[in-house]
Amino acid sequence: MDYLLHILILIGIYVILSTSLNLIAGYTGLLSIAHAAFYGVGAYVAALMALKLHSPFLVNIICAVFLSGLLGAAVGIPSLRIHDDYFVIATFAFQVITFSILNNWVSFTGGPMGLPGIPQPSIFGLEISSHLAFLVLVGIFCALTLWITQRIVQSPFGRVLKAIREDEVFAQTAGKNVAAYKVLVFVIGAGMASVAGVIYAYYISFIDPTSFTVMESIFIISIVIIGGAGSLWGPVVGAVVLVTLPEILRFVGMPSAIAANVRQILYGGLLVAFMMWRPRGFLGEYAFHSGEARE
Amino acid sequence: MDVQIIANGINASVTIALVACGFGLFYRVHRFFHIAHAMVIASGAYGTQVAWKWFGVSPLSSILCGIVTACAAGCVIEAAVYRTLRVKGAGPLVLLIASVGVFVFLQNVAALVFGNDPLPILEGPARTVSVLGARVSWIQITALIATVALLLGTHLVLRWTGFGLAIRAIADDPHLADLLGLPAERGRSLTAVLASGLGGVAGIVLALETAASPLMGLGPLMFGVVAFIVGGGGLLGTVLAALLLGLTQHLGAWVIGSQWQDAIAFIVLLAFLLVRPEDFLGKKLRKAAV
Amino acid sequence: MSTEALVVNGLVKNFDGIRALVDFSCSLQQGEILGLIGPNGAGKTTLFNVVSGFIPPEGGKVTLKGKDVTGNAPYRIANRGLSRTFQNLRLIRQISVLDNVLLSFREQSGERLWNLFFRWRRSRDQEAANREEAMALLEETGLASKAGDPAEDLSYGQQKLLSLVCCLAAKSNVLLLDEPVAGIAPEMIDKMLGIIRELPSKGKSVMLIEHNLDAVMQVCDRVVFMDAGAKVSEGTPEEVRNDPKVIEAYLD
Repeated sequence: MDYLLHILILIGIYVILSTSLNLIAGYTGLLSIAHAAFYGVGAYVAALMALKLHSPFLVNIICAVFLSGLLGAAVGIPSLRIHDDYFVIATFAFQVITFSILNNWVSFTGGPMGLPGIPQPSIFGLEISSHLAFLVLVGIFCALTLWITQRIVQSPFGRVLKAIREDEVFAQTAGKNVAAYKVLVFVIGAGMASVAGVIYAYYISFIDPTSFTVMESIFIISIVIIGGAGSLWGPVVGAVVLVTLPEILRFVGMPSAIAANVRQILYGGLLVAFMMWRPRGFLGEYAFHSGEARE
Repeated sequence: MDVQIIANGINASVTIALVACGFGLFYRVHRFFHIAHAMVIASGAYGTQVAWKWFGVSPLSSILCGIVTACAAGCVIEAAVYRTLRVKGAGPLVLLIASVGVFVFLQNVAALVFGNDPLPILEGPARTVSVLGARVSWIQITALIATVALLLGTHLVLRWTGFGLAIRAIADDPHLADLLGLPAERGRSLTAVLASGLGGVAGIVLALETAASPLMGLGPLMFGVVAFIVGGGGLLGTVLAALLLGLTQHLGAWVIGSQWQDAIAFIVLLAFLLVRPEDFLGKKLRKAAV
Repeated sequence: MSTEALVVNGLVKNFDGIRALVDFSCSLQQGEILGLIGPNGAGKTTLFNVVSGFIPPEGGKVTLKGKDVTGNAPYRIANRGLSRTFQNLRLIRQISVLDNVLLSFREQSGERLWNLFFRWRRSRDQEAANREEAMALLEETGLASKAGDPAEDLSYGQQKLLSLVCCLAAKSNVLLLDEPVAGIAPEMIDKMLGIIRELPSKGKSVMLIEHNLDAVMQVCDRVVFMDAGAKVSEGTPEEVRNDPKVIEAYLD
């Protein structure tokens, strides 16, 4: 039973991660492989504050969102000058730099050893310790993330995001400050991703940099792409499919070590297959076509 | 300043240059970032490994096997994935995503077949000689000579042969090349072979110096991308940038520690992309081409 | 108060050695329809790009309704009351016709994040009002039945009409139309010209680029003839048509 709850909690964390990335990449068309950096910053800020300042959960989440939002703005600003696949490389750079800081600033972040012994969160006096309690916590933040995203994408703001995705020039002509929207969407997406990091840190009670590598970023964007970029429920479907896949393999009796590789073979293969036959994924609306053909 | 650091820097830039030139050649013809090149690099290493350690083939032939394996890997990826997508009119983003998928797929297949742990090819410390006060191994010297020869050869092929001219024409203007009856598809395939060969050699050099592992290509690919972009896209620029990057990394390692070399390389890349957002083909990267 | 909606003075623009605009000056009077004609490569679209802020000029000044907007960001110039269409027809093809029009309204409360969460009702109400207005515009131009269809489903002529509707939705009083009737069927041409002809009565000033000289003669109050980045002739359509310099340029 605990095992099932664990899977559901993981799904919840990845729903938050993929939904927030979908806002950036699926709705605004800014493909990014920096998302694990925001996830990691959230986890580390919460862990460090809990361990060193003993500050309460809600304070830690607010700080995590704030700092991750700043990093989001830093990643978003280059998107004004760098586009399409070059921008993907730029986000890759941010991801590597962030990982490098987490992994090498040993005196502050614990380096490769990580941060053990993160205390259990307590919210308004309620101790969150059992799997069920964490599931409820994740569930609440999942619902919040989805609600915020829905409100955004079904509004005029969301309409501008889609316009930027399809034709920035037209959006400018319509009087929209494209630069501001791009930076803002990164700030929001980064902030939401950091919440997933905070929950992860408290749930596992131990974090190290290996959870926040470029491979993790690739996994998150794969969830968005396979589930369906530019649709509200696509990332949810993607998260469910890609998180439960290795568990199903384990059920079928595949040893753990092999299952990890097979899972990645499957989602790598799915990425290629979807790009070839259905680039918009299961439920998506955006197929990553280029706005301007390269002359 | 320690001559050893310079020697180490030059050695590092050898593999970076090979990767960057191969990757860059591919980009200039195909117009997208072929991230799966990281696995082409690894397949060169594994090909050599299999021939040498599993089948007892002579070292030289094993290296040849490795190069052939890399070329084959590159060709298969190009034919099976990229060409299919090209025919469907896929843009650079879709191709990049597919390339990442291929990388993840192949990297884990390699892990399943060969295991995640590094597999060394040579046992024991390498024999070294003293050159101008620095210790260099015979592998490093051979690699340097071979690389210079290969890159010079590549330059000559591109400059002076019909095939090279065709490649440059396709790189500059694919539509015009098609109209002129230049065999565009064949040009693309041959580019894949050449690029993969260079990448395979890089993988073999790395495997001989350390070991082969599934993720071995990702690091060199990252640095290769940096060198290519900072170098401005031409062969000479790429080589110079690779040299600069290799030297900076080892100098930096001496000053602030080698663990920061990834971060330094990418800070340089970001700075470059922000200050000079231009495609190598001279056109503006900005989408607002009205 | 100035009667000039738009003034450009001494504009200079070079691209890689090509002189696209050579000390170009002209003015668009309030309430007039000005035609901009000339051979291909004369610099007409470049002029539009400079005026609308997409390309900064190397020299010269652009004054929109008395305000210097030279080199401003395109969205800022748009918000000062300028709308434009494009030669290669820009629209958001993946979203509906109605959404394209709605996108074009200025000052939408629902486009600000704060309002989305803390002034939800106001945003929602404004959106509903905009929706009604958008449908009215679509009714007027005969596109109402296609309101829910994705913009890419429209015919070429209908798409051109839609981009004009988007300019109207923006309530801009200066419109730059780049080849509004090129490549569309004759009935649609008449429809477009009919709408364009009405624009001054709604307080708008229009500059349009066209190769279709019939259309230009029908609709324009004045015409400017451009060649190789410079103004060659200016006047009423009749005057320009009979100007020997123009005839010579066309025969070149």
